[in-house]
Amino acid sequence: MGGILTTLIFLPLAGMLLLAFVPGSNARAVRLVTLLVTVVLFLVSVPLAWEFEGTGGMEFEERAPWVPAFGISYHVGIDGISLFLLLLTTFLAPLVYLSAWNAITSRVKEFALFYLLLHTGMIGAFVALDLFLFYVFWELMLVPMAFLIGVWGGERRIYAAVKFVLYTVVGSLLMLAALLVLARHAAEASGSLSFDWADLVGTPVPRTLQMLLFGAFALAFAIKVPLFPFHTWLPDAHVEAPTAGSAILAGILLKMGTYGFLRYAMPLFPEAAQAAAPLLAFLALVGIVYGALVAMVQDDVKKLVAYSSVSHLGFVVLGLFAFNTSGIQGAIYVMLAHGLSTSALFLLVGVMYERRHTRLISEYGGLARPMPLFAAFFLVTTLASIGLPALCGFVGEFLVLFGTFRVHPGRAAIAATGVVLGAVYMLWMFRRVFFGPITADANRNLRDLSLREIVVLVPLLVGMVVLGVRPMPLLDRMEKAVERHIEMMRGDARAEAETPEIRFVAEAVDSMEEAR
Amino acid sequence: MSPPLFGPDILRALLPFIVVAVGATLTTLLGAWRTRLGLAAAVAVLAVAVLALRGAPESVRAWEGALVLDRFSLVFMALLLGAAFFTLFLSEPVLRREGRVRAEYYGLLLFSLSGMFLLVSTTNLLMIFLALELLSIPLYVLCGYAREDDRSIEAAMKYFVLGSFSSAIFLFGAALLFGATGTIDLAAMHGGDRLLGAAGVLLLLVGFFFKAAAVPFHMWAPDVYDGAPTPIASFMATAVKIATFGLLLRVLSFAFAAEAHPAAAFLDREAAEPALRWIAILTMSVGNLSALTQNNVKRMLAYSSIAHAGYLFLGLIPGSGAVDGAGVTYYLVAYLFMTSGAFAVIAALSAREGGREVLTVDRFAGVGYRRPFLGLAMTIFLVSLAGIPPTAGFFGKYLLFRGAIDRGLTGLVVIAVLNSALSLYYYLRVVVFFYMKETDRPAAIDDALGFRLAMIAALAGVLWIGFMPDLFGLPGIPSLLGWVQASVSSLP
Repeated sequence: MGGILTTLIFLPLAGMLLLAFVPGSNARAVRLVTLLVTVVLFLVSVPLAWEFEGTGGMEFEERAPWVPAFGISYHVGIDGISLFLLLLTTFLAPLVYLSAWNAITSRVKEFALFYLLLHTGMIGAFVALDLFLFYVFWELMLVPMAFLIGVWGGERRIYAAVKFVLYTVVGSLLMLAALLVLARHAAEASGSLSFDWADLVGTPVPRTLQMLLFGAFALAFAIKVPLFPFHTWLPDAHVEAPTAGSAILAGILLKMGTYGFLRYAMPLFPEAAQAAAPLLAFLALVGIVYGALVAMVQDDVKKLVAYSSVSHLGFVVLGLFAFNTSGIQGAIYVMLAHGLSTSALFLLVGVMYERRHTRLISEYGGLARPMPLFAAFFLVTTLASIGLPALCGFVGEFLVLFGTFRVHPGRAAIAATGVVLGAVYMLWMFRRVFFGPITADANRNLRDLSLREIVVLVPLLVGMVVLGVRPMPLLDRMEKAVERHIEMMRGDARAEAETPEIRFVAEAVDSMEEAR
Repeated sequence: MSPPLFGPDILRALLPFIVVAVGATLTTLLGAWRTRLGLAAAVAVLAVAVLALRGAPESVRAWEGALVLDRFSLVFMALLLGAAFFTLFLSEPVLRREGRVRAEYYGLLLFSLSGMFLLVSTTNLLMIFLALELLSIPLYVLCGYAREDDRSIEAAMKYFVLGSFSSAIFLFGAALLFGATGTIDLAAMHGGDRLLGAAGVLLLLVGFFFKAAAVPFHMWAPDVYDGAPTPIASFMATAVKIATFGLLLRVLSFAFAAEAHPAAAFLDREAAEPALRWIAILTMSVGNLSALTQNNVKRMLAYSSIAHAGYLFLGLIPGSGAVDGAGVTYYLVAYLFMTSGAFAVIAALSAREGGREVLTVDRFAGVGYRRPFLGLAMTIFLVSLAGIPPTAGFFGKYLLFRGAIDRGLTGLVVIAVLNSALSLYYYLRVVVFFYMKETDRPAAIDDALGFRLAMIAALAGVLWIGFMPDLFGLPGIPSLLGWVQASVSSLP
């Protein structure tokens, strides 16, 4: 008898089995079954939110032997870090599928099958606590995503799909090699081969070896994030992927990289993580500014949103490598906020594309008049994305900047320009698309949002607002787990480089937080 | 006390060989009057061989190592039988399609199989030579079986010339070894002239590397695989590789077993290891890089099988330990399933047009939608060949790589891993055409039952090992790893 997590992993597979009996010619039935499966998936995951205690340790743990001879076990569980990413995944699953209701008209059944398989991979990767199991799920995500891009994508879809696969696979195979080396090293110390996260995380690894292994893990995760010089697959994949694919890619898949850093690369190799922090923080800063600048000059809305992801994910990495509670909490919060706002942005761009079959900003203008409701949804999402207080983007970015400021004020200052630039490119794009005179006649009589589109967008919007005004329930549940992670990567990072002035500011903010 | 020259044990040990060899003769004779019954006869022979194998004793050594029946040879014979079954599945529909159904074909196949059986169950140099020839000569004929296709004739000619050449090199090495030690039994070689012995081992290995298509002795392989009828190409990619690696494992574990047999170690570890490393690196890299540029899928699979030989070589390098017999054998099990499956798909797609097979990848556009099962199966075979979980190929690589890391060969593993990433590109290319491209000249698809059975069997194997890498659940093979480990325990 499986627990909730096992159910979540295997539910999409069961859904695929169910779909096998639905004739592919009956597109409506296929869509309904898939939607039903994803809704059930979400409903099954909801109790996690209440039953989660936030002890800091792993909860809902399940263990079963898988391949004892290879030291591999089926071990899953969640803590305050993975809980919300898991919930985000199941939350987006039905919404994104519903958004693709009319957009995917060919090979509907195959789309549904890959969509469900992808969810098994993503959910598995978030809850796995055996490194080997994690690797299996990590790779499992690859093939369905490549198919989603390559079959249902735009003109250069095959190029984008192949690029996506090759980038990811180079990193992940090196990670596999590092994983084997790490397991062997741990086995020499403990006497028995094990890939269990809990067994490996406490293993002391000599410094040189740590650097090498961290390098391999970090490369795999940095490609997935994507961190600055490894980001070039992202715009291609995003632009060519179908709307639903982009939404999942931005919403969930990009979080795999940062989640990997937090769960694996940093606690497993704490010294190396400390040593590499300046480099990674530098790359994150470059990503923040560069992503924002490149986003600014895009003439394609979808590409603009794609580059904005590079910028936002830079914040996440920056927060992680501040090595303090607010930085890491902020990073997780940005992951969640970005998951909501950016997937919503992709869905909104998809709405435009479905109507006009173009994503060029110059083709639009004055859209607020024919589509007022759409404009309103778009505006709120834009504001959430640029971090307006009371919407989800603000909390995370503030915490990241705050956490970074406590240890490296300079980094925080540079990152803050990213926030400003974010407002510039998003609002500028918004103005060009929605305000001004209607320049193209085709835009004059565009249909506003349909009921289905509203049903998709309202929960996302509600999510953005809730995350913006009530952050404490989430932060509380994360706190213990984050502190435990910091404990694991102990290098006295908290005390590092805190000048008296900064400590004064920090204490002031702390007392303000308490007062609140 | 010297062991008896003959006895009931030896007779039972000989039974599998007798069954296959006599069966081969009878099947060939069948060609004279009931030539259409060839397949039935071959299946019957293999079925009896399975029974003979099950009844065979587990440790027999007779006639100066000419017959060595231990767990190791039994496991490899079982693998070879599996490869032979796959080949039979593919053969009948292809022969029927081309109007060449003859019992002699099956007879030759069985003769070749009997040679492989001998090859994996002997330590006697003379016997190895006999087995190599018995394995090869029927294959020379089978490669040229599609007589009207000049590429098939070319394949046979090339294989014959280079094969004979490699046999001669092997024989020369054997002669040197005999001169150095005064015995032709590998297990009994003690002392002797070191230089002569080392030269002998070197030539011996070169002969084997030819057969294993290791770089730089691989030149023949792509042309031969490409020109030979697809079932024969499949047979060479699986059975010949399995037999050769079985032999290599045995010979190298003798050559490297310095502690157990001090005098038997003619191979100077310090000198041999770098050479083996380079062969491993070159074999996987050249195989993969050449496969990248192939438009012909059969040729691509030929190069891919060279690359896989490169990964297998990782297991042959002792490093800080010993030869990784378990890793190699396990990989061969996985390799058997995925390669046979991929060739089954190719066979189903390889209808001739104007006397030639047209297997360029662009003709396969849209196949995945026309035949969903075939497309799915091919995707899984290719993903497995690339080593993506959860498939057999992944766990095969996992075990080989882990073993290599344990023996301190981390650098080689990194190269192998990068090679795997490279290989994904050309495997994926086939999938891209299957699902993501369209063509106005679609390939003809042959829905013969044999292909489908082979695909189902291969798919079952690939996924079964992928999800339960240790549990096999067959009678006699409850734990795959245990089975493999027990088999290599009989090596020195």
